[in-house]
Amino acid sequence: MALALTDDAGRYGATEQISDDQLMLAYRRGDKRAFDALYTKYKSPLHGYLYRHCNSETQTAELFQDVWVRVIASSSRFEGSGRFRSWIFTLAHNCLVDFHRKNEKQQLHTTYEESAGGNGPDDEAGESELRSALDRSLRRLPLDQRQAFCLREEQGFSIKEIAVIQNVTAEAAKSRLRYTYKKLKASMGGQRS
Amino acid sequence: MKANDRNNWLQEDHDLADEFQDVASAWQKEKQKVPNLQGVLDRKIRKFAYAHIEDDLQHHWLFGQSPRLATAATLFFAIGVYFVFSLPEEGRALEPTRKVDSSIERRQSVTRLANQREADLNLAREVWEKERWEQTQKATASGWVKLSLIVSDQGNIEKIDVVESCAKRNGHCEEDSDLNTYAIDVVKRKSYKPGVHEELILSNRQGQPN
Repeated sequence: MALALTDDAGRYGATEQISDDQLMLAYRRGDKRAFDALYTKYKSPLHGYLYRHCNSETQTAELFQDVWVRVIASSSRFEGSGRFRSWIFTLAHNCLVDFHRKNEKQQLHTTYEESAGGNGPDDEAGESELRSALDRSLRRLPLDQRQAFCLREEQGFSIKEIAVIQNVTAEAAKSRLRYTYKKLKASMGGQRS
Repeated sequence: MKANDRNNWLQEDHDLADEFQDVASAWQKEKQKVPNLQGVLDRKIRKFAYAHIEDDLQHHWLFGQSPRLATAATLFFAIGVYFVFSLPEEGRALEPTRKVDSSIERRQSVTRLANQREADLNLAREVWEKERWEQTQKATASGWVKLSLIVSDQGNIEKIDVVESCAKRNGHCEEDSDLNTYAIDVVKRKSYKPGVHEELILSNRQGQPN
């Protein structure tokens, strides 16, 4: 995972590759552009990941902000051992766990069904139904399984990396993934039939 | 991670992807539904990030524009605490001064003792010399009188006592008033410093004052 160094105008250009870790260390030393580069790179993946686990955009925005505040506040403790990507998603994972503990009574995945009914008018009816079924099935699963699935399918993490982020063994991570896939596959089959 | 272990897990990843390829494909379409991030939030986070490093550098104890007094005071306090607690239990901060003081005192005491001892030795040597001289004189003389006298501050002899007297006759000591009178006359003719003195007056001939 790498980004480019600055060009003549001071922006991070395409002349030489530098890693996320180097960017984070540069930010620690006071380089705002390094933070910009990291933020630009990770804002969409992180936002998408958090959105999958929340009811609304407001909650997602709240969590998103919380994660970045943690990233910024913990920047002085970041050691740069080549794992920035895992590190930031670990922070996101922890934020989600904290958030869901606080809102346990609200049962986010059930209320989601009420709020996530509407899809784009341009979507074809079949695809829309399939996506809704998948989405609904995913949101009914426990948080750790949903997280494992999103980390793999949306962020491209391996089983081992997911295990590190969720602080479990690789076997446990694999088991979670397999269970999630099977559940989703079953819900797809039910929808199609 | 061992290479074998890593390869195993890579294989596991591939197997999982192959097995659930249909789920993954369906999900890829779902990803499009994520709404865009609010621009306000974007700016807010960037602003916070910039402020954080500016604040960090501003208050950096060494590189900050104005290292605050509190930081300096804390630093000095910490050094002080470290210094105190790094000393042995007894005496704490006073220990070094006490060590120096006691060393000086010990040295002065030794010097004092040495001087005293030397003075005592000198006195003992003087007494011994005097006694030895007296013994020698007594052994060779035919008679002798030992007198004790008190001399006033003006140098006048105020009192003379005969401490011991010996007039040798047939190898034995006897008291001889003439010899004593002679000794007292000899002493009276001499001058002495103020104080108490002892004087030994000898006679060379048998029964006759010297």
